Amino acid sequence: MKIVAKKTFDRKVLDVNIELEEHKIYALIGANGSGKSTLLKVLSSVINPDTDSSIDIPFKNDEVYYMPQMPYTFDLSVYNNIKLGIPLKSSPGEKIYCKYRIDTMLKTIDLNQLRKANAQTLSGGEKQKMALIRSLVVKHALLLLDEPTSAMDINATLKAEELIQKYKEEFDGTIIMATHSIKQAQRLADVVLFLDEGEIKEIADAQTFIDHPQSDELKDFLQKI
Amino acid sequence: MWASFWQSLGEAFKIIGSGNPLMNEVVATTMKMAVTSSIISFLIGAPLGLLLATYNFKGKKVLVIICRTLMGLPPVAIGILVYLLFRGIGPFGQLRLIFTVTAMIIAQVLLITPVVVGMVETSAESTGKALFETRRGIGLGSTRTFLLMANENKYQLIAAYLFAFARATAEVGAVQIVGGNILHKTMVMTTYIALNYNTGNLEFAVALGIIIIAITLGFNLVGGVLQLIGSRKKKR
Repeated sequence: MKIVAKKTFDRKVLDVNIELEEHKIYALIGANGSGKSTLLKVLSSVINPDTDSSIDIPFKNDEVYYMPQMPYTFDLSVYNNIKLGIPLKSSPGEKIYCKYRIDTMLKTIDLNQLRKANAQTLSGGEKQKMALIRSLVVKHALLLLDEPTSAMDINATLKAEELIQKYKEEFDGTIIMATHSIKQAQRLADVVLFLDEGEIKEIADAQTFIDHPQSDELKDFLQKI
Repeated sequence: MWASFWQSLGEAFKIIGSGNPLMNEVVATTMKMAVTSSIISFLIGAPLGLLLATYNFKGKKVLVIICRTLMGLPPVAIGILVYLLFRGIGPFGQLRLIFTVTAMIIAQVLLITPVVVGMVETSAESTGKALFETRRGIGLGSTRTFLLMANENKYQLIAAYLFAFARATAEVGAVQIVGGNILHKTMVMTTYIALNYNTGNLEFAVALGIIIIAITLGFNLVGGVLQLIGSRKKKR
């Protein structure tokens, strides 16, 4: 799939033009302000294409799912928040399967005991767990995750990664995930994209990134983390 | 000095206790007008306020400016406007609504709706901005988003309705002009208070003032209890 995304705001903040294979997990790494979140927002049309931004991707708006870093939690129970991820047009059979998936994921990520709690009373990490399950309930043509585990502890992070991996295996899905952790990229991603000043500077698997960084920007980035 | 004050209050409570038929009739007319106008204002204003808080569309800023301008209009100006529209020789004169409770309700709806829109829009704006990314990311449809927004702002909506009701109960300028304060027809508590005050019948005016305060207090207590129940339910 070819992805073209551009955004300017006084200065150039994003200029991405890459060809990616489908059915893979891509980790998007880069320093703060490198354009990771902007790229995901442009791809998901959270930032509407206008004179300052444009996208060209082979998917419709509703085929792309975006989980923001700080997901909004509705004044509903955890379970009902997650159920918002089930498309209204789903058949009864699909809905039953979705509910089964939700139950399984709630147990895997240790959130089942809070399924009836009001979601607005959850901690930051718990909110991320809930939002992650919501994003993994059904298959999306393109799943965009913006630092989905940034507020989780290491145990929860590993379980969240397990869920992401299972989603990819079950649905053969395509995921682009922004992360600050090169270790997470190593554990989870098929391919790592290094973003710097709004441009993709390097594409490789995580190990190659660490062992043989090419650009000075990546070497500098790796030294700092 | 205080003796006259307490004496007036005592007389007022005696009048309330006596169950004066005219007073009961005035209270009933007031309730009919206030409940109807506040419900209509709420049904128009609350969705419009949520719409303004949730969606960006062309002309939104103009609509917000119009609403905020209307919020500041004095009731007598609305009263005169409705009077001009519905008096015998006015464009809607053939409807024969002037000096009826219906005309008073129309005036109050014009007066209160912009306030409801403003209150809901202001209180729901922060929620609208916060859930924007999630809503777009999940791909929630317009109807679902709208219902969720209403749920997110339910306490603000309750507060907006209570304010609308209080405003409708306490308003005097517009209803005086379009209602005419006609005995057994359009006389409401506020206009009756003004009449009694002007004719020196102070105890009746005080009695009605106490009833207005009691009704408004009652409504706000119900709203407060609902909010309390909601916040308790939210706790794990």
